Amino acid sequence: MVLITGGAFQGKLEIARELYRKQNPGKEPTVLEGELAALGQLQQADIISQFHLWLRALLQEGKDPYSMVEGLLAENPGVLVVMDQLGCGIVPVDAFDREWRETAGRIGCLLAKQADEVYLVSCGIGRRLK
Amino acid sequence: MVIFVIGGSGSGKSEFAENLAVELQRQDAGKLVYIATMEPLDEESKKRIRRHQDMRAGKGFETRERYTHLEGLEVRQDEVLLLECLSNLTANEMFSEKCQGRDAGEVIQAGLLHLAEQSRHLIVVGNNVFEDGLNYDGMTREYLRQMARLHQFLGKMADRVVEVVCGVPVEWRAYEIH
Repeated sequence: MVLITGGAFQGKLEIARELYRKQNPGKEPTVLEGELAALGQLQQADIISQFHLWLRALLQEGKDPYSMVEGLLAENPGVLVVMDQLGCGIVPVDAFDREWRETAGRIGCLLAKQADEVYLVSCGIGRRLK
Repeated sequence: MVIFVIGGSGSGKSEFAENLAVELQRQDAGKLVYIATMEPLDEESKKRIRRHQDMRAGKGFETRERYTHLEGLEVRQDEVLLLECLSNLTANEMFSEKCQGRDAGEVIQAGLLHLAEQSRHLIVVGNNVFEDGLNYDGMTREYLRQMARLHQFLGKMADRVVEVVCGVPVEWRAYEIH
């Protein structure tokens, strides 16, 4: 698994596509938006974008994001995960938003620990952290 | 040379950018020009402007105020330009009455290219406002999107991209993958 993270609108998905093409010459990646896709589809995806929104949807449905992520990675161990950094603002007023922000941060750490490669993206520039 | 300096609020990015401009001017001679984008509309902005004026006092900058229409600013080949900052400029271009009907991102890109071509060095200061995880409404979201577009534009165009964290410069270009 490869984790690509950074701020919103920084060009993370484009970096993910480039990384995929480099690993799979001549192939175009299947990109799925985390929020909109079913688990079965995510298990087939080459790239999952907006992963933080998938986590949000899971929390909204009352599911345990940690076990869901574990299950996803067991089924799709080579996936490229694209996820926003959410944690550098004021603590959200809404309790659900607080829980989501914290969970997304923690799961980002877990993903980074398990990932073969980790990239940080800013201004369209990708930088390898791991 | 084009250098893009980003950082959070209070990160020390302005001071870093100023010192960088002074250094470049010492190296390659020429004239130091500060392009100020904040319009003194109220007490708070006036205070902020004064703080920045004090900070760069004695460093030898000539200040040129330019709130919009960067593409029409006259600069010379021997000038070292410091543009502060991209987020003000974007807000001015998007929301000022004089600029209705202009695509802010588009015209600022043209303005930045113009400055880069006409000057000796160009330093642009931007704000890293993309990591708070908040979901903004229409107008603010559009503002963030336009600004991010400019960050990516400068990310491609700049010879050096520096993120300032607690006053410490973190290089981006030098570690770029590919």
